[in-house]
Amino acid sequence: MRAEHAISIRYFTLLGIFVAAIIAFTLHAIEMPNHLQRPEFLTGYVMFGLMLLVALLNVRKKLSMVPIGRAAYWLAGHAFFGVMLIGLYFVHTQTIWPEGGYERAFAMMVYLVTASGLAGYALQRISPRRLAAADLEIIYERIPAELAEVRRKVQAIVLESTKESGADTLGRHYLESLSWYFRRPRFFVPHLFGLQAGQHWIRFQVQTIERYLSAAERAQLTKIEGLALYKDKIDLHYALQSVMKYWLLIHVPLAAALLALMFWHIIAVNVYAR
Amino acid sequence: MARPQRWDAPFGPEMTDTDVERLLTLPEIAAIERGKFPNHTPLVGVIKNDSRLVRFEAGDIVVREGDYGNSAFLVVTGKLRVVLAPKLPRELIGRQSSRRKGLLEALSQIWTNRVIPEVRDTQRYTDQKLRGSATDLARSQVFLQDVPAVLVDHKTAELGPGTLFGELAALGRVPRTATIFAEEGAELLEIRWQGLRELRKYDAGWRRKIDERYRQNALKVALRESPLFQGLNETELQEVANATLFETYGSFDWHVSYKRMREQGKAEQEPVIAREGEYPDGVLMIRAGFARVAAKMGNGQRTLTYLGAGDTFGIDELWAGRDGTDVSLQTSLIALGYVDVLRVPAPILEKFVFPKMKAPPAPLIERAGRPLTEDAPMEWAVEQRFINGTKSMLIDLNLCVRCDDCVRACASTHGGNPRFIRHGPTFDHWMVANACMHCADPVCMIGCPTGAIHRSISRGAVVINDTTCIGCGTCANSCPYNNIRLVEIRDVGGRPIRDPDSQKPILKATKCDLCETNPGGPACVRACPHDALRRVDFRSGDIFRSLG
Amino acid sequence: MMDPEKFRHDSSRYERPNLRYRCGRGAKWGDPCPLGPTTKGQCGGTSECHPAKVGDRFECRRPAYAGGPCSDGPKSDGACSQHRPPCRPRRTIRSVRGILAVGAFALVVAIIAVFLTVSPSSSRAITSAGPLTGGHANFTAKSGCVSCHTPHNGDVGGWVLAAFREDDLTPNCLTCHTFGGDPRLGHNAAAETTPRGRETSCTECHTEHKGESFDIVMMPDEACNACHKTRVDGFSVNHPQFGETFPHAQRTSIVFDHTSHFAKHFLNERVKDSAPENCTTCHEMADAVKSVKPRNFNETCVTCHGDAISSRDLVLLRLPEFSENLLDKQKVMGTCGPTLDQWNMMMEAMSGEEGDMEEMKSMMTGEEEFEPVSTEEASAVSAYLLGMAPDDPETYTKPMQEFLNRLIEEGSAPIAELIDQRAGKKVSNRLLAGLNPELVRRVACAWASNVEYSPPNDPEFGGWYGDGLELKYRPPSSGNHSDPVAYEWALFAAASQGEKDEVLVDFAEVMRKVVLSRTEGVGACTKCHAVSDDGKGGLEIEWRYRETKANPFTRFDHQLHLTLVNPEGVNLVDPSAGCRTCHTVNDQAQYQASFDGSDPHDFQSNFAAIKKETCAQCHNRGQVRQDCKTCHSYHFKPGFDLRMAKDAK
Repeated sequence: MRAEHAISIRYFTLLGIFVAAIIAFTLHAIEMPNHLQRPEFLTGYVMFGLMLLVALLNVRKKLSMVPIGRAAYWLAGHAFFGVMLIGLYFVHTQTIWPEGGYERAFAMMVYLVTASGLAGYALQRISPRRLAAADLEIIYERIPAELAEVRRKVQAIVLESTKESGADTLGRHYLESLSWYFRRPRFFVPHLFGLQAGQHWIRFQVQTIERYLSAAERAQLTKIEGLALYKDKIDLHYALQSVMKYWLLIHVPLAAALLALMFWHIIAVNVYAR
Repeated sequence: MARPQRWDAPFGPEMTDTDVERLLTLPEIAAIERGKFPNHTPLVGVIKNDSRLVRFEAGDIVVREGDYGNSAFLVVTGKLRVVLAPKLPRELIGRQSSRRKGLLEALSQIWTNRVIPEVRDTQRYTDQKLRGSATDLARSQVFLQDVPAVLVDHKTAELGPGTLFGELAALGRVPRTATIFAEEGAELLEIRWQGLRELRKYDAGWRRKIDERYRQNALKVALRESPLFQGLNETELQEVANATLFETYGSFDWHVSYKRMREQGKAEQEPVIAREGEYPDGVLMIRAGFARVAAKMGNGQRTLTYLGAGDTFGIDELWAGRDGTDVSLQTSLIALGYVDVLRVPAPILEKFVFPKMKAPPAPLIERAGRPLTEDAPMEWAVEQRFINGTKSMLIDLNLCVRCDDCVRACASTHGGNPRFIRHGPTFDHWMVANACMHCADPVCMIGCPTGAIHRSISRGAVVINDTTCIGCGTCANSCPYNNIRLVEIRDVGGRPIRDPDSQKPILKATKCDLCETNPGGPACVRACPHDALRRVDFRSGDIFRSLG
Repeated sequence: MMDPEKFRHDSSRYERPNLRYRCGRGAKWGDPCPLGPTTKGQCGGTSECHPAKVGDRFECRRPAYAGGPCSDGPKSDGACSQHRPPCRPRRTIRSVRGILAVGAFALVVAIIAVFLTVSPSSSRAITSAGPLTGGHANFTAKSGCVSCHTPHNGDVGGWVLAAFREDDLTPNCLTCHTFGGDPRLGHNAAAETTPRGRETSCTECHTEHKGESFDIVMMPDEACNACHKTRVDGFSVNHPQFGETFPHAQRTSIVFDHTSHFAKHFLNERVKDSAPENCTTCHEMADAVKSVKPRNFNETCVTCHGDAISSRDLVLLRLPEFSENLLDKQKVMGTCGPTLDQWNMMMEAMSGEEGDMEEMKSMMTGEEEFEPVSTEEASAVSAYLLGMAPDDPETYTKPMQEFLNRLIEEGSAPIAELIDQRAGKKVSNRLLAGLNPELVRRVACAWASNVEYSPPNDPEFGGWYGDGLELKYRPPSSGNHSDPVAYEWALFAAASQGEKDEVLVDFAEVMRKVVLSRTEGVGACTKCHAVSDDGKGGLEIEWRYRETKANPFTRFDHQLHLTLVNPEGVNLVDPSAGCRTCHTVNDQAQYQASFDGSDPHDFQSNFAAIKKETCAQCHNRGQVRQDCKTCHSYHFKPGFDLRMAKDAK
């Protein structure tokens, strides 16, 4: 506990130092034109350094085998400097929307990368709590197998019920409606937004078929309902874990493009503006 | 089906009656008073079912220093050697050298790690000093090739016929303290702990022998380490030691019943060591194993805390009653699995300890005042026996973004292969993932035929020597937490390696080694970008505190 | 909760998120097979196990995690009985992400490369930081980027060099812009105004490529403070006090005593009606900026001082007192004819009286007592021209009489000759414009005959005329303010300041004292036109209104402030309104005396110095703007080079 305290103190001390440094730097950069100095190169190269630092998170993830600081610090730095970079960007360009086609493409990329980063950060803070509340934990890669197993179980119940009762009521309903649900994860978007569409759908299905079933069949239906509700949780995991992975599919390639744009920008300003 | 009996599964099925007859003539066994044994467990039964005859060739290692074992040995014929000093090199007894990699070497794993899973350089396995059969892997042995050289280089002592050894490790659940090997062909009677317990229980001679050895070797050490006896001088300590009683509770094979409990969802009746409301006759000190302190709570027992090696129980009440009033126990002490307990009688305490003692800190019962929810995760950890772990992987699911960075970090330090699975029992928003917990009581180490699984000297992590592992699966089956996994290995070309005779794949036991050979500690913890993953000892402090 | 059975060591195998492929069946939500794809992305296999031959029969070897040995068992030929169709493994999200990231990087690099190579305009699109301001865009349209950015059309090597070299754009700016001074110096002015070791460049202050209408000439106060040691945070805050004589460090070119005019002349009953109503009656406000020009003479001064010009004559020659008469009387008479006295004498002689004849003879031969008709000094002009002291008959008698001889014979030519000689160039035609040689001869004849010249009538129209002992010039009273002859004589006198001949230096000064006299000088020019040192050792007559050269970087727009003080209808004598709000009359000043010398900086203005507080009444925090650029400009004399026009659209 004491150690944890020490870590948080270190966290905030570090954070304080960085914030102070960035504020001091920003003030300095703003002050520079007053001494007939151009701050663009200074802010530009500082941003270049920070961009590389921020991009190094990806490298850090590939270098887990060597002790180069905890990834948690790296990510905190990534997020922190990422946000700071937007501030520095305004200090650097002194505009929200620059002139010039290339500059605009660059600015657009800066905004997109930052926006996707912020969105991803928010997602990563919210989604885990929603998943933990689902009271089911499943590895993303195992979802297909788990679904297949649920499907197998449901089909077995339906077959058994049909065999026992001789009526195809449940079987027919399975083929008509339930099989759609069990085929793959469903209600992706409702799950993203925390809607209970899946549960509602299950309830509706049960209510629809229940009146036509015998007592034995109803017992089987209850089992199916249990499995369906279980699958609903898996669906939630599928939806939330998917977005927690897919947002990086936007953020990372855009960031790579931004790096490429940045390199050209640095070459161009060195050739033209100096 | 007949009701299962105690000796349905004898230790050595091949023991014949003639063997038993022969053994009964051994002086050490002949001296036992058979009459003291109850009818349902006669001495002959104990010999026949709880022991077995084992042969060792010259150079065979009988017990390895650092191993855990559940049996003691009685030398029948032949000559053994116990290595005193210097200790045998670790490679010689089947351990792996746990040299820490340098930074560059660690970094080189980027290109040396294989994409193909579980690739091994089979060349390493060819110079194995293994003896045994392919049919019974558990009987394979690591042996010393050059016994004379060992005798020259190391100071050893001879163990001749009639010597009993290994009983401390068997009963006390502590690692073997020395390596013993056969100098010449030798026949040994291996007695499993259940038999040993019966012998100690019913025969005064064996009890005296075992207890004396225990007092000499282990007891004073245990007492001296306890803060309770800090102020005592050597003679006083000796007096306390002389008066101290030893008791064991619970099943040595607790993990078996625990696994059953987990599989059937039914709690085994846990043995009560001391019961709430009774009057204490002495302070109880845990020497090995775990016990929980519980108080009645509605229809059940609420766990207030749990005690491990060195912790004491009953001191609060004895202290309160030192003026002569009778104070009954406010809490119960219940064994969690196998517990080795020392009982220091109350008069001894009053005579030697209390005069020099300050009032004990907050009594255990005070914990009963805490809200139930606060203790809920701890209750869960006790129930799941996670308290055994010293480095359990605890994941805060409120923070975990399921990115698998920890798993990939693990793979990056283990040749491209993960050594844990990011799934496991959950409670509230906590998950104890299936990664080796590096138990205080490592049941996985019992019965490893080659000593491949062992504690590393450097950090005390439980590690497996891949070279000497024969893939028998004993450890994986023993682990109550399913944290050891057998993998089918491949050669450097990526082809699966199979036994040419049986076509069965060659297996190796794998598990988390706490990045033993890697600089910087467990890579999984370092790799977690959200501080969601920690390696914790459930015994230390407030670990269920969210960092988020 | 997940079923704990699923965590069993023999049923749950390690997940390997470091692999690049996942089972294709799983991707389609089928049951993924336990073998999984190969690391290269192929299906891991279609059979579930490799049965082993034990003895003479085959045994199933399906591992526990895949369900253990199957019930069907191997086929008789040893093949696995459990077959699945192969799948097409998919890449994992992570693997796709890596490809996308590398792809995105490569795509951007490729796009940049294409833009750079396809055409100049696409290359410009990818390098330009934004549109230029209108003017710059226009003038660089033809040459493109290279107009300013020299390395633009260079090869790769040049680019690399440029990237590492400080490349100042200033020389390229100077192809169009001029500044009337060194562009590298602060304020384009003298070197000492720039801090040592510091050169300026255009891009220090001016930023381009910020859009068509970007204000590229903006200059914040801080930019001034960057160099100026005296920090100014706003005019009212800490701008230094103005100088003690500000803005009257140098005397005006026109001598106009505001004090005496205000206090005396304009109140004079005689001229009261023609006195100006207010300041703008005389001062031209129409195009007033920093300087407020007075209207010209003919619109203002002429009312009272119209006849002053023709009231001052230039005395070109004066017959001085001769100590003796060395002239050849016969020759004089031969050329000039006899004087009236001589004529009478001749008439008397011809009427027969002896004595008269003798008398005439003696008169003709000059042997009688000489009694000079003049007792004057020679004119200052002639003193300079002839190089003789005007007041010493002993020295000047002979040369002067010889000069008279020449005048008799040659008219005005000898004078012109001397003038040109003194001026060192041909100026006599202008100085002697309108001078009739006959007049010269007549005057000279009279003087040579030792008589006063008596003109036929008064010279009422001005011009050259003789009068008794003097040959003079009077500016015509035709109302021409700038009389060319008087003008030229004033210039001639002023130029004599540069006389090198030691003998003549004193005589030149004598002449200047007369010709440039503020009270007596010809045409009264110097009464109002200041005679000042020209800074080169000479004298300069300030004919024109001179805008002040002091404080070249300071601006003040009088016209803008006019409406504030509303001088129309304001009584001139009211000291608290109109122009006098700021320009208060200082009646203690020795204004006239300031013009006695030629040093223009030895000056006391009619007006008190303007104080900072006067301006700060309005130019104050929260009121009117008070930044540096309100009154000061940076560039010295900004201008354009005509070359720029050729590249215009």
